[in-house]
Amino acid sequence: MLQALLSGILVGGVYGLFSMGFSIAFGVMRIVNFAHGELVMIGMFAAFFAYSAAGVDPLVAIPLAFVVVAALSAVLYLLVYRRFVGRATLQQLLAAIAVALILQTSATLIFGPSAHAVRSNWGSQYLLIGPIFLSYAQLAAFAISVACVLTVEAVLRKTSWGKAIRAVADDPEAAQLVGLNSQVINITAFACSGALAGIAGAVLVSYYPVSPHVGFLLMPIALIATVLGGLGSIGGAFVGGIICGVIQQMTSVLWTSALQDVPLYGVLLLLLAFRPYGLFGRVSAH
Amino acid sequence: MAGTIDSGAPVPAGLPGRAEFRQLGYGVALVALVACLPLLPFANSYLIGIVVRALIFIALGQAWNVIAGIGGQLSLGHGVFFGLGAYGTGLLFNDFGITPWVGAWLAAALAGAVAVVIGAITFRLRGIYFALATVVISLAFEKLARFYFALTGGDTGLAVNFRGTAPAVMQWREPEAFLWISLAVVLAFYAVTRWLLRGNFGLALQAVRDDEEAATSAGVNVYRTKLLALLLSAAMTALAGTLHLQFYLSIDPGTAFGLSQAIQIQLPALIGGLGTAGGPIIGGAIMILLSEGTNVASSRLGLDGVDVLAYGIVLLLIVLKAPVGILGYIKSKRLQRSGRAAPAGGGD
Amino acid sequence: MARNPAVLEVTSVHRKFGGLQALSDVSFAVEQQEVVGLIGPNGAGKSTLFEVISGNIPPSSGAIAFHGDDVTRMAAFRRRRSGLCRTFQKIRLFGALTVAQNVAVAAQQCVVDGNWRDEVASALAKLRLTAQADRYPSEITLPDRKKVEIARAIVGRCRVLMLDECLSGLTRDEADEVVQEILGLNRQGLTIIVVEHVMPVVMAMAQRLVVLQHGCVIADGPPKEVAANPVVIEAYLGARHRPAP
Ligand SMILES: Nc1ncnc2c1ncn2[C@@H]1O[C@H](COP(=O)(O)OP(=O)(O)OP(=O)(O)O)[C@@H](O)[C@H]1O
Ligand SMILES: [Mg+2]
Repeated sequence: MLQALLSGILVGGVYGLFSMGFSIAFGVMRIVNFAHGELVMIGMFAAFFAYSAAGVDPLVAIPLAFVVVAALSAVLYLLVYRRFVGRATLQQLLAAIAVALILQTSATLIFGPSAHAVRSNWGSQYLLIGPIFLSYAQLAAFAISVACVLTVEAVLRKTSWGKAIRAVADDPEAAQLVGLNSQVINITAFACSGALAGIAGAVLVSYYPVSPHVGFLLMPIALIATVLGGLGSIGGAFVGGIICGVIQQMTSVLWTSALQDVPLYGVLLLLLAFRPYGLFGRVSAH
Repeated sequence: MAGTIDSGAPVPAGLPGRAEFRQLGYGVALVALVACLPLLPFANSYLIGIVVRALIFIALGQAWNVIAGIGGQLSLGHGVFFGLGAYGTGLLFNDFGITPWVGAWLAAALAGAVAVVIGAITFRLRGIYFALATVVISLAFEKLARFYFALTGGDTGLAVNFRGTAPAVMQWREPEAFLWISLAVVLAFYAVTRWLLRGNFGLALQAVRDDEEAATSAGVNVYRTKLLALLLSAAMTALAGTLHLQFYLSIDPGTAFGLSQAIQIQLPALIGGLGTAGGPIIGGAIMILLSEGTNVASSRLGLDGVDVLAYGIVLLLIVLKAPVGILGYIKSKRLQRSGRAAPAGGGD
Repeated sequence: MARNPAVLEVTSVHRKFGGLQALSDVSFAVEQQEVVGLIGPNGAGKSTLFEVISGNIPPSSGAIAFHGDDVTRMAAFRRRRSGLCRTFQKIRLFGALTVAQNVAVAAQQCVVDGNWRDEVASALAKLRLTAQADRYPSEITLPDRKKVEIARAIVGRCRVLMLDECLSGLTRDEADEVVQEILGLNRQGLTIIVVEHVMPVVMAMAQRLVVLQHGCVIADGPPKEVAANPVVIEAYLGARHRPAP
């Protein structure tokens, strides 16, 4: 149990990282980016290619994944999401699903449907503490995630850009009135949302094999973490991600790892039905 | 919509206009053509098979259109009902020997029951949250279907015990019978859609779609109306699922519950015109051209999944460029020409 | 005062939106066939009070009684079916349905005896909308749309009609016409609550005024008395100095 709890927290750190990206896109622009999992998947492929082509460790390839996915997100924003800013509409959701489908099938056509794994020499080593063993790769992933999250939080709190983002996420209508919700804020916020997905992808690929289909496994986690943390609460999504990781690991231990996501879906349904503003979110009218 | 809603229930409907007669004529001719297709000299199994696939596409689109187009509730989880129809019929036949003629209705009833449970949970939510909840439910079904392989056949899926041509268990070697069955289903679903567009229940349902608060203040039980519409839509989807199973003789978790299936169910109505009776038919016909074209391309290129890529691109183009679909577009043009503003949705 | 039993009785209703107290301790009663004017500056809580009475939003506390029955927990659609009807300040017609169908939606649910088609026809006739029956809301004029809202509200069983600014945006002639329709309905036995900003119109229509300010009832009585009430004058003068949103 303790083992499951600890590895859940470690895995959840990475979930929290890309969930924060999802939460930024939702909080600032009310965009439910159904393709967020595909952005993580592309980050994973970017880092995997750095590894297979040049032997670079995925963690060293983080800047590459960062740049690739941030740029892709900016392009997606300009081509598609720009039209839907401020309204989480069904049209927007359909567009995002289409983007997800296009990215996923393109990846399948280019890379093939099978999974690729990175075999670094330290990735399969474990730290033993009494009966508990923790993978070094997961420890490193967790440490990097926490570092990134702290950086993002600091940027959001200290810089004027970050303050603008938080103001918009907090109350989009009021922010619109004072002219904060500008195109520049939006595009940078969306790129930042993608960048977090990219970093998470590079980190994740160091211990988790990449295939074109991982996106569909990860997107619900980002959604659940964001709802858990409270819609529009960017830091809350990180906590939500950790909770998701723990629930998954607990399910693996107590039930079966093949169904580790099913309780998560149940949690999301219950949350949406009874606490749509999240465990930590404020209740506001509509 | 020209001619359906506007000659609606409360006012005594006038004599159908000339345009309506012409439409009716085209409709009858088209149905006759499809029904007599096997008699034509150039017909072969390949061609008839394509038409059957098109009709199944259309039936699924019509079923989804009930809740999404007429009811305004964007369900992304219709794969669940499709899968329940297909798996339900198949399991009842393989394990209990129940003929699909009966099994189809049992599976549809099961799908309806599941729809009521899903609706009871998710209709507390509106719009996008309802859509997200339905996605998650279909993901859960896919996972469960893959895991409980003793029941479902796991990843490889379920294959119907084939007995050759055996009408008593809805099996034929040749596709003609499926042509007639699926044509009948499409016609029945078309009638249901027309009834919804002008009948009492359908009016309440459209009111709920247009404005839930105003519908409540008009005395409409919004929750019950949505629930009944979902039940109807789910049962229709399950019947189309049975048709799919009997025609292809197999079903697997990805085909049944996967997201790309959910999207295929939506495309006919989205392409043709959401909330219209004719939309899914036009959309389904376009879909089959797309699907056949990409299949040819895939086999030429030796690549798999080109069709799903094409669906994604079409979906994106529709949402960005023609959110009202083909019929909606034609209608707004026609209204513009006659100097009237377009009403907000619905149509024929 | 107690000539008739109260048709509608609102008892210390409170409603909060986050930190905002939109209604606080609102109590008043409406008698059979009365026309009550509900007035107050912008944001006073008039529309919110209608939402609470009609059941579209629940009160934070307090009770609503209709014909002596407590309906505080009754679903909004049931209240409408039992005759508690309202229109919306911002017009909310069903855009894809024709005028006749808009009214028919309510008639199918709320006509208890008789043929609902006849009721639709008579509601449309009462408001002189018969010629527009087959048009869509987007094809008719603003006054006609307001009248469709009213027709949808009165069709079937309707005992209390709550009208939320159904005259705003109309020219004087158009407004006069709608007022005449409303008074005609009242003569046929309907109890009416009107929210209106144009004071002369309210003074002419209403037999009694209830004044709301910051969610509180600050006056309740015959129009002449209320108009002379210094507290009300102060509220309106204060409001006039503020720019309208
Ligand atoms: N759904 C809501 N969420 C939050 N605040 C609300 C909501 N509805 C109304 N309010 C607030 O409650 C107060 C009362 O609003 P209401 O619409 O009842 O006023 P009103 O008297 O109808 O004003 P007006 O004359 O402008 O129509 C306002 O400050 C308004 O901003
Ligand atoms: Mg108001």
